[in-house]
Amino acid sequence: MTAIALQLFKFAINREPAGRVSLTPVTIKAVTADRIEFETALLLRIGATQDAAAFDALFNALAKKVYGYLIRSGGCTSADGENLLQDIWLTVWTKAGLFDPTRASARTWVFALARHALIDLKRAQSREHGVFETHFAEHADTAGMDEHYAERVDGDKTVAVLQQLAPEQAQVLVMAYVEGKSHREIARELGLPIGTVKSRLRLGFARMRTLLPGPA
Amino acid sequence: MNIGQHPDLAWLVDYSAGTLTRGFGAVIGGHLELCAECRAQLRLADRLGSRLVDDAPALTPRLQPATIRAAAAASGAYTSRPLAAPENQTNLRDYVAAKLGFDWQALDWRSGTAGLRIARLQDRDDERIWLLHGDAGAAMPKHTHGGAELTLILHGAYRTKDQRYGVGDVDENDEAITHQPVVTADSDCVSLLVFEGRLKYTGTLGLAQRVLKF
Repeated sequence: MTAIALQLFKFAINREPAGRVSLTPVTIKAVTADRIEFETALLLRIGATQDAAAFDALFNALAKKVYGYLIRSGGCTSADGENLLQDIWLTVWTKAGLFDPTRASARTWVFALARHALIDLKRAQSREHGVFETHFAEHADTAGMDEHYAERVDGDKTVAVLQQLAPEQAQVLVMAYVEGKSHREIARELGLPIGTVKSRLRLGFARMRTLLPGPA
Repeated sequence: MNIGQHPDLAWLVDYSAGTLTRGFGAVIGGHLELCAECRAQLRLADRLGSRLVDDAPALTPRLQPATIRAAAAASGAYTSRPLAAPENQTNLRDYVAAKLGFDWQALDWRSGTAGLRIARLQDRDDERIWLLHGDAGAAMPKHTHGGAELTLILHGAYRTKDQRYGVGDVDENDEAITHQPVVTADSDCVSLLVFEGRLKYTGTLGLAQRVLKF
């Protein structure tokens, strides 16, 4: 089911007039500017007056995405997911005054809290287990890279925007953002020179610049 | 402020992802305070990270917003206001002291080689955090590195063979690079030095380091 859902992420199926089915890359849909402005206004209001209605509205707008990310991309149990979600939104409620709308949208700010909370949990868990996950070391050579990447796709760790990148570029971004590994840890884990990891990040980033137009 | 030397994009991705350790985070954070170009890069990095969350399927949690507000009220949590410095007026010395939790007046400065003093804030193999003070014209001993090294200039400037590093600039080095920073002649220089492993000196000092194992 997961694999099917991801294929739907990856391709939109267009039925042509002749009845044939063709696959075309999905276009990147943008969250509307109005919605982004509305969320940002809510977060500013929470920061200024700790407005309960604004908090509830922002929670209702974003919490399902955050929870989906923690469970599906982050691989959290529902118990861990609920706990993290509570920590994240407690931070939103108490630290909204630190939000600077010139640096990010509310969505970017809240999602960054979520990413960091997940990564803190993952890093704490890996310290408890002594090492980071090591199974990727078995696929350190580039020949094994595609298979390795495919495992991540099946594991629900990639998302639509990354499907627009070359696999080796998407791989390092997933390892950085979702698995919480620094570029030097990524290099060690993949058995690659640090310069290669940096170059993959740079190329992936340059592509992202064209895919994520618009304001922060 | 004119920032000339930037960290590699990979460090900004690490910062955006939230994976930098304390010292490296302070170097990158300090640079970002002064560098509009890297702040723009960081905003894109943050938007990419945000997009990864946005692309996840929505799942309904059991948690309700009222529960969070009640928990905050019970714990006495309060909304904090930012202590924002005006753009480009951040004093990097204050910034790193606040970020790393030390007092400039209470540092334990030790003399190094001629014209150099070092205050060690953290001395672990996975991450050493040192403050370095060099008199005008003082030269660091020539050295290479056991891993990544980032230096953030807090005051004054130094030169290496091919570059000049001033306030807010980041000098990035690793095990493949041997260098010898020399403080410029016009002022003393204070920098925040963060590195993995140990500095490996070359030349006579290197010989002494190998014999005496410091």
